[in-house]
Amino acid sequence: METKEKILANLKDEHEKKLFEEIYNAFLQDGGEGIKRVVNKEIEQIKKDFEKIKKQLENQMGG
Amino acid sequence: MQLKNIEITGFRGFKEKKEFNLSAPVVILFGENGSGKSSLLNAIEWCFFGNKIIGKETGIRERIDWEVKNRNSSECIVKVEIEENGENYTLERTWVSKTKEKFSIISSDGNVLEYDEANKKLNALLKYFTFKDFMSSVYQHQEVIRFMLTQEPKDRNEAIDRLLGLSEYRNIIEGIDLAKIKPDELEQELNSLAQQIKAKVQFWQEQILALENELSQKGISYEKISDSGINRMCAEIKKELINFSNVLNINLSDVFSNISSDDANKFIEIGKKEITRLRSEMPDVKKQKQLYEERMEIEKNLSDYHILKSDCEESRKRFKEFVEKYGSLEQLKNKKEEAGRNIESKKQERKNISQLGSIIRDALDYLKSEVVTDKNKCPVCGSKTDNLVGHLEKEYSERFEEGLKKLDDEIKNLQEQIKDTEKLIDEAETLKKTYDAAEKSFNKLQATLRKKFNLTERDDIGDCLKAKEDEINRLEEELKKGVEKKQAHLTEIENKFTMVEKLSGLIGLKKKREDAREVEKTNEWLNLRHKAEELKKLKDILQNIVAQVKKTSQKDAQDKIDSIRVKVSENFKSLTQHPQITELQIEVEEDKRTGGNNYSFKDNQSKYVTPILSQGQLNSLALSVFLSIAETAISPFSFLIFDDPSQSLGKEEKEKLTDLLNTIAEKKNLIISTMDGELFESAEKRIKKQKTIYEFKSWNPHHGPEVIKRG
Repeated sequence: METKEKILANLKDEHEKKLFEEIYNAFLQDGGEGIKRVVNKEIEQIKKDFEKIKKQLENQMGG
Repeated sequence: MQLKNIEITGFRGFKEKKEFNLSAPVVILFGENGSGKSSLLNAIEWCFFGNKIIGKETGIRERIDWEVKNRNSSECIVKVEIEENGENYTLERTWVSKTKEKFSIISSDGNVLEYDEANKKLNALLKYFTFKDFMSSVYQHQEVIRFMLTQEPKDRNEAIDRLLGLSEYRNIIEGIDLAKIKPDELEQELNSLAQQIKAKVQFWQEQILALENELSQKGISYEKISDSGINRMCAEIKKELINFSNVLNINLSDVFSNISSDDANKFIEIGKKEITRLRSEMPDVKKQKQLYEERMEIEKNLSDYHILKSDCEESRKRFKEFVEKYGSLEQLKNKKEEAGRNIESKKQERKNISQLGSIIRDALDYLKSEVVTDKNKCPVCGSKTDNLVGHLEKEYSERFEEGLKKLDDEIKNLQEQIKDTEKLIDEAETLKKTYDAAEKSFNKLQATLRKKFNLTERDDIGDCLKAKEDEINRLEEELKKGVEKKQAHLTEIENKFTMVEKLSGLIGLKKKREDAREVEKTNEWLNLRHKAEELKKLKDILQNIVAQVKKTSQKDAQDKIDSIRVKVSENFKSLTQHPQITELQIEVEEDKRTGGNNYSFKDNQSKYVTPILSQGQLNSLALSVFLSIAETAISPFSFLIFDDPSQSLGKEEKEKLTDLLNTIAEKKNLIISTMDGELFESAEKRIKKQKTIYEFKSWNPHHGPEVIKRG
């Protein structure tokens, strides 16, 4: 079994598996910087959603 | 898969094209450090694996920022000839950039495969053997042994990880660590937002109280006011303004006429603008403006008239006073001419006296001379006088010298008189000019005003203009009362707008305050909290992934160690003999500091052996691990590469190493690179298989290495 499959076998949660697959594929392509890019993309997406909701709320409250 | 040949151009230490036959069972590369031996070995792995052999991900620190292409070469091409199942293939890799290469495979029948097809064929030839596998079971890199010799547990563990092909796990963990996640960041932002909302509620509360207080003081009831109440008030104000605009006889604007009183804020904004427009467009106000402009014009004309009149009178008065005091300009000019004539007369008189005095002087000089014997006899008339010289000198002094002095004083006085008169003439001329100019301006203004206001020569301009000004004042006063009454009505309507505005503002503020108080119950707020939790969860997920990577790495390491444990011990004993180590045990556990794998080498009494091993024995330990993996791995390559394997080994250990290599050479071809003369000699003698030796020397950047082939 390859490294990726061995690690995947130990992960239970589907979201964790999906994220790890993205991390591993990015690692094969760009090494550590690739992993950093994938993780930062996840973080930025959450932050972006947060900011969008925050703006909606601010608009509702009249700025 | 057998290696047959390699052709290198512009790769690493090779500038010019060089070709090496690698088909012999044993190929030895011998030469000093930096002569290009490792470049040849690197060229083999680059041709198979391309730019995967560069960078941090390889687990070799030296490979970070590694330059593939030789700086002095215009191209970089490596061709490796291999034999697989009786077929010959030429693999050709060309460097394009750090991230791009060109790869092709040429079969012995001349068929050329390129791009994806070439890579697919290569994978089939490699039987999906990876670069990681190649590094751990085919190519013994000199850096691994160097790391083993450092005695630093972290570096040694990293080196063994590499030997076992487990660098990937370590690199994944490091990559995840690179992304610095702050799990509480959004939670903190949410708390900060809650504080801001609280502060806003407080601010609005203060504004509400201030407004309520203001409305109470004005006697306005605000407790039961609602949006519909505000709309009704707006409709009433609109009606009132329409009625009043009819009184004023002014049409209301389309914008105001069409605005609905349901949108209170818009209605108030436009209504107030409409009032401002009505204030300025009332007919009486326009008339007021016209009268005001006329009055301003008359006041300006009157002011100009009085100023010029006064200037004219003042300059005339000053000129008159001058004439009375110093005489007219003509008189002053006559006076100047008379003084001039007097000076000429005095000058003639002085000339005459001066000529007579000269004769007497000459006579005196003659009498005083030695030629005259009778000093009392007059040389002019011949009469005799006692002390004639004395008398003549006294007369000369009294009559001529004093007379001349008197005349000079008189001339000087007359000249002073002329200068003073000239000054007075200048002053008189200036006063005259000023007076003439003032009179001209005044006359011009009078003519203009008479024409403008239709006045005759007999009319007094000042009086007429004053009368007109008084008339305008009277008209303005009459208009003022009517305008004030209408403006007061508009102000009354405007105040109603302001009151509605305040009531509407009060409702708005109360609504905002209530919304803010209830914000934590809204879906948006719950979604924000969910996102903050999501970030925390992402951190937990990443931590779990790291934990599982570590766990898998440890399990993998354990399995690999189990599979080579006996072989490592055997190889180690073949390479070195240590009286305290009869059996070598290898254990894997978690490194508490790094979370990575920690390898312990123990003797049969479970005592750690690395602290008592020499550098040579540590080298032997690394070689034992590599050889054990190389021997047990299922590899498509039927050769092994050794790069500087004898670091820190003693002569006896080197001989044991060559004996071990001789045994391995029975099963696999070997490529051995060394700078060690003892190992080279030992290998030449003790390895029995056919050998090709390449001696490397005199490397320089312009040509690369000089290579001599033997055997």
